[in-house]
Amino acid sequence: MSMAVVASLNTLFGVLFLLATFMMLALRQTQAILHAYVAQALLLVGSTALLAVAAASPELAIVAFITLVAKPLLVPALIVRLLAPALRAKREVQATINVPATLALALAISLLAYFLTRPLVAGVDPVVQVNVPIGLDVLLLGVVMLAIRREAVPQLMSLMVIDNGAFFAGIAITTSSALVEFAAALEGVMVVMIVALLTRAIARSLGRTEVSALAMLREGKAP
Amino acid sequence: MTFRIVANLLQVLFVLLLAPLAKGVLNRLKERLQSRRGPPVLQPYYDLWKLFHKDEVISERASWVFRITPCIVFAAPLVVTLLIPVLTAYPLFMAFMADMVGAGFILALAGFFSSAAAIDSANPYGAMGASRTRMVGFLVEPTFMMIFFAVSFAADSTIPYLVQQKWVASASAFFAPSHLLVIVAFVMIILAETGKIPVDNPSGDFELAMIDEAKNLEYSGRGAALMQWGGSMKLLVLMCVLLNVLVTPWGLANGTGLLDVVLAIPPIALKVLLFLVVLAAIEASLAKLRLFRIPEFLGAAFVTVFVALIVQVFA
Repeated sequence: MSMAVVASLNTLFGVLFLLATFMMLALRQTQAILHAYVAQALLLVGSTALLAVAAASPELAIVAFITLVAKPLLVPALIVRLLAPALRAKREVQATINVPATLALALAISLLAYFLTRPLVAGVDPVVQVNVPIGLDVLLLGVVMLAIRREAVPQLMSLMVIDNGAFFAGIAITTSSALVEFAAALEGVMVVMIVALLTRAIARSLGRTEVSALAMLREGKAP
Repeated sequence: MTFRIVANLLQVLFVLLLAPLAKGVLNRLKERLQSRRGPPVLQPYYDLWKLFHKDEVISERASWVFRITPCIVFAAPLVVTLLIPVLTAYPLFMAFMADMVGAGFILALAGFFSSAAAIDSANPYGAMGASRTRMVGFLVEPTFMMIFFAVSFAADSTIPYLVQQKWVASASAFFAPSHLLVIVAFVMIILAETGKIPVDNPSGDFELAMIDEAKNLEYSGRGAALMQWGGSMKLLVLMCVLLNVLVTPWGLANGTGLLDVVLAIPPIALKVLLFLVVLAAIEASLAKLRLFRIPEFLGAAFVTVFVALIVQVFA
């Protein structure tokens, strides 16, 4: 593949990756958010595989394989298996600010991410020029998602979005990190499992997974 | 010169005569997708014929705005037809009178008058429909502006004929992410502007839930016919902008013979038909959004085109 084709395909993957993140911010039902997450993870895998082919790098190919197993397959499978009732709930997930305001905030953050990374990526490879701003952007949007969602399951997915964002920037910068990525992917799966089990415990004792209700400590005598 | 006038007339006749057919085909396809038979494809023509032969009843409180609006709604899409490539790939003599922003302005003028007329009729549903249409309208506006920005960044122009040549020029320009995202946003905008399903239900009969249709409730006879005809022409004109300028700028006449222009009609009709299938599929598979969810739908369109613009500017 010629470099220009790789660059434009990579941009396409990057843009769709960013749009999937926006979708996760705007959607209201847990299951729909999970579907958007799977789409986002698959785009990440596609982008990694593309760069692996372009750079003819076996390390990146291994990374793509690890990502494929961990992010769009293992993590959603774990969430579905451990948190099926919270996923199936048709009710809408509460957020601290409404969707249009969230989208406006997300657009401001996107611009910020591009401006922040501009001096970093000036004059480098076009692939890096695309991946680093989008990666940082998705990372920051993941933080926003974590802050505004009031329920445990979407918050769990926001953690994975932060991870995906960092990953997306990482695959463009270096090609020799299969071991690190393996550890990171494993850690992601572990985090999901632990948080999911914790959420299940919360759901068992409270009957719901809304963590905003857990903001206060009750020590001593209960009111 | 004579040829250019004839070609322009052909473009106008294409929009004028085939717009009701497009509407009929869309209705039929929608019914088919829902496993019903549906009205005949030519039903909109029968409706227009019937309405033109009926008496018109106008409230005695209505002013001139109410009477003149059907003419404006009918004429606006035809004026836009003069500005955009409907059948020919090269500009005809009116093409440089206004760019895509100008065309949007002409359509907005028709929208303004139909809202004013709805309020003028003093029908409470009319005022409600007008205010809702205005809400959708002003939410669509920023997205429209961003689309123009993205297009002019990519093609260095907002004259539709020049924009279209830019996309045809190379495959990499066509498959550029910003181009694909602009298309997605434009389809969302068409759905909102012409009152299609995620935003409004065009076949609904319940006045309280209406957005676009509620404005036309007071019209009868000839006025109603002109309003309906104008509405279907607006859809066809927007589809022509989408298909001939943004998505598939192929099949337009390149030669300057009358035969070339006539031969361009079948491929363009085919493109419109294919897009109508997509539109019917969208309408049959989505549910109408609650009124207060419409800002989110249009917000999504805005985000899409904004991302397109960022990628365009920074890449």
